[in-house]
Amino acid sequence: MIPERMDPVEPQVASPEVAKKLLEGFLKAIRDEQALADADAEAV
Amino acid sequence: MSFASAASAGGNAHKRKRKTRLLVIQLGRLGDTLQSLMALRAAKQLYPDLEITFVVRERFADAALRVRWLDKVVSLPTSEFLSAGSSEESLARLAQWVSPLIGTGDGQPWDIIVNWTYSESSSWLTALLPARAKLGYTRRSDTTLFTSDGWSHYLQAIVQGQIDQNIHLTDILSTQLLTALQIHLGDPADAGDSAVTGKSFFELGYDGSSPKRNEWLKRDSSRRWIGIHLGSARDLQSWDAERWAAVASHVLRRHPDIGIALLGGGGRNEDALAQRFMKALEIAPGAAKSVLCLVGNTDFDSWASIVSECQWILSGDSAAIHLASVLGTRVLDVSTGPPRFAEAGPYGNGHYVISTAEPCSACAENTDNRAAHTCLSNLSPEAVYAAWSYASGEWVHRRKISLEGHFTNLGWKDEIPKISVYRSRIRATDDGGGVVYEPLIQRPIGTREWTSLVVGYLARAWYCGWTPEVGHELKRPMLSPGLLKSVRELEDSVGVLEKILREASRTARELADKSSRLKSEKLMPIAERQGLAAISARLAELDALIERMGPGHPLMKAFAQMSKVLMHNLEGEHLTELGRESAESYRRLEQGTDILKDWIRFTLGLAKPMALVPASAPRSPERSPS
Repeated sequence: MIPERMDPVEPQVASPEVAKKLLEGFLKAIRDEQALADADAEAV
Repeated sequence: MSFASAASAGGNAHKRKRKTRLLVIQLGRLGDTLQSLMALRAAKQLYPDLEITFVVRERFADAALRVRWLDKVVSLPTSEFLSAGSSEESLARLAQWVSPLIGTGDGQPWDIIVNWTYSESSSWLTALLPARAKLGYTRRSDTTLFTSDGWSHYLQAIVQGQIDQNIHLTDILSTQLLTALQIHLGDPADAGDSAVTGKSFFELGYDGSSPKRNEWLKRDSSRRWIGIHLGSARDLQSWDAERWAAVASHVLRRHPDIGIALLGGGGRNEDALAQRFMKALEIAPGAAKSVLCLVGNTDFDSWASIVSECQWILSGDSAAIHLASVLGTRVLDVSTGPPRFAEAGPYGNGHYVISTAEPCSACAENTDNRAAHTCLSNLSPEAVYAAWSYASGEWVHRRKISLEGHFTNLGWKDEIPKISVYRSRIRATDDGGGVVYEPLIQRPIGTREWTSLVVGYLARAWYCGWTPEVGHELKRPMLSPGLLKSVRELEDSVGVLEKILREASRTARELADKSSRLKSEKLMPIAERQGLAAISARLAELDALIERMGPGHPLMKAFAQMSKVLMHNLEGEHLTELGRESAESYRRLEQGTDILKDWIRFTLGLAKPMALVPASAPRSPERSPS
């Protein structure tokens, strides 16, 4: 059996630099998904 | 430290232990949202003290908002971020939206974050939010994609890797969360046998303003109503409108007490499909009241009410089948396009699924050209009507008549070889649990179905720690010469794979041992560095060998993809940790090959003449380790 590797860790808030990168990544991913959805809708 | 102790630590002894705070991220479509809600309901019933916040796309938030046991629903207004004038403004709006989610209301981090979206975008959000444990996709501090829990590895390698497997997504999500809760909170107080789904799943309201709902309320209530949902998120999962019309014509002609409600939110091309349906419908003079076209912009409450009040929902792979499942309305799933019903079909007891018997080559080639798809063209309206009429007549014939007998009575016996029909059943817990789709037409299975059984079994062995007997759902009549040939071929490959995995595990351990003796990972004698480089090169070669085994058989592909995913998701930061984790991952995969060998032995043993197998003999020559 592969145990669930979920030992609780001390949660950390991302540093401002990392948080900014993550936010930018999130926004880009939302944009990309929307563009794909639009292309899909146009194809129909 | 477990959540239970974390939850009680630091406070006054007389204070009531705080609730476990769970954040669930579901940024998928409505069907995904509904499946997540079903899984969450099961968890909430077993762990009533869970405080659940649910993050959902704005378009699909209504479903979550109608569930009384969620503590908070946060909707993601995608268009608000995308409509901002500049990227900076978009980023500022997004940051403002994320900010309240950084912790719970009292500034504490989340106990568990569950990201059930399994998408790129959701992983960025999960990474932004602190929690004591995270399930599902997130990002490392270097922003690479990462997931640490076993079921997420399975979803990434197997489900998203398009390997056939037979565990329903709702069961995967439930088991994943319940395992986490059991580890951190202990066993639930109650065994929790109460139904998860039902008419009261949502608290629905009605303000009288929905034209479609008003039309529905004026229907002939002396009739039993069937809802037909024409559209689907994917074009190939939407059967031809004319074929649906022919099914409806059969129903109306043979069942004058039944009415047909055409359903759909008006999205994609549903309005056009509805027009084609109505044009093709053959309807007796004076029977106009037996058909209602309710396709068009409909609010969630109205749509859910209508689905709830229908006797049956007939649909392709759409959110409608999940909504009907949640509400306990029976479903006939007309499964076209790449087959997905085993993991995303209607959930619950007594639903039916119909598909073509022969695999569709256009599906295998992943082409979007509808005309090439025999999964669409070889499924006749007569077969779909007959499957539904068999299902809806269960209370009369009590399944004492076979499906073949029913088709023969209708004069459509010739349809039987072209189709497969399945009936869903929730297994008893001591039988493995979860939903299973049982074939009503018995015929030999192919490599894909066998793979699906074995992969599902491997998942149970890896992540549940308990499995039923090897091959307990495999019967002798299901074996075919083609399957046996592919199983024999697999037998040789498994032996090779096992050796590679064993060697990989040994090499990774060597890497861990050698690196643990180093004073520094950066500064070391040249000979040590060369030694480590040689071990790493050997591991890379072994990884390449595992990957090269992939194309041979879907099960080899399953192992190759699992290996890749496990290696990608190693958590350690230092060579020693990475070596130990790798060694452990290879070892567990090697244990998987033992299970695979059990299946091969059992399957080939089952093919031997019956006289050679005494009735009292155990079913499996060698059981898999529990």
